[in-house]
Amino acid sequence: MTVTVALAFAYGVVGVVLVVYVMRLWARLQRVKSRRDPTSSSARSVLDR
Amino acid sequence: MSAFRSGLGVLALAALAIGLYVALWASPPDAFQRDFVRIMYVHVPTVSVAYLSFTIVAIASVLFLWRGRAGFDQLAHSAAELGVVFTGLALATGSIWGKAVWGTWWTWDARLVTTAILFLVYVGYLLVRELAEDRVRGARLAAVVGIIGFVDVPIIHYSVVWFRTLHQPASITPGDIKLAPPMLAALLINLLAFCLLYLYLLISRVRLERLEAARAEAAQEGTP
Repeated sequence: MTVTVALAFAYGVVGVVLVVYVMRLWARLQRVKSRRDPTSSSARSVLDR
Repeated sequence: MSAFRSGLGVLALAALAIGLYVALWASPPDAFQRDFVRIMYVHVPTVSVAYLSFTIVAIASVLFLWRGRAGFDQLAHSAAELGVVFTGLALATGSIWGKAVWGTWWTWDARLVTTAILFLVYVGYLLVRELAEDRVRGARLAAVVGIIGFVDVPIIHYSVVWFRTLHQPASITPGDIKLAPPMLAALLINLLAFCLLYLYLLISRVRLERLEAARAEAAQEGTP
């Protein structure tokens, strides 16, 4: 295995996994924040905090 | 809190960019490992952050079982998920380094095996939570797994001392640093960058847990 391949592989794996994790986390946060129950004012106040 | 979180995210990103530059270009190659040593600047921080994460899981789990506050469980769950991610990355980067330097992707070495066990134990922790029909019971059971699993952390750390291993012993011990100053600087910068990233991810993940719990609570209140 050449140095370039090994470094690209190692840093690539770490970069891709972390970027995917962060994007997934943001998407879940946005989804939870946008999902509001219109019948419950307490739910809105809790989620708006 | 949101401004602090955003600021922390930007700071982590900047630190990672500096860390990447120092690791790949500014630091010198090693006399024996040559440029393959640059994998260490990402491998060691991922392992360190994973250790930190499982320490948080163990402490938060003890506090959850003792006090019963949901906040401790949310912290433990968030830290466990992040710990699994970073342990997985540590195993992957270690394996790539092993192929380049040792000539093999995997060997049944004490350090490697105990780290793989740690990964599996905390995957189990996440599965226990997901599969439990009763949410509270699942959280309590997971807390027990989180505490017992932590026993593996010191075993991993001392495995290179207790057993005859292929994995090299620690390069930094109290009073003895076996690294050249430029390499030590590269390692510390990357360690700091990964700690900042970890803190950002942990705060965000705990926030997600809190929002999901609040929503579940609100949905229950709305149910007649």
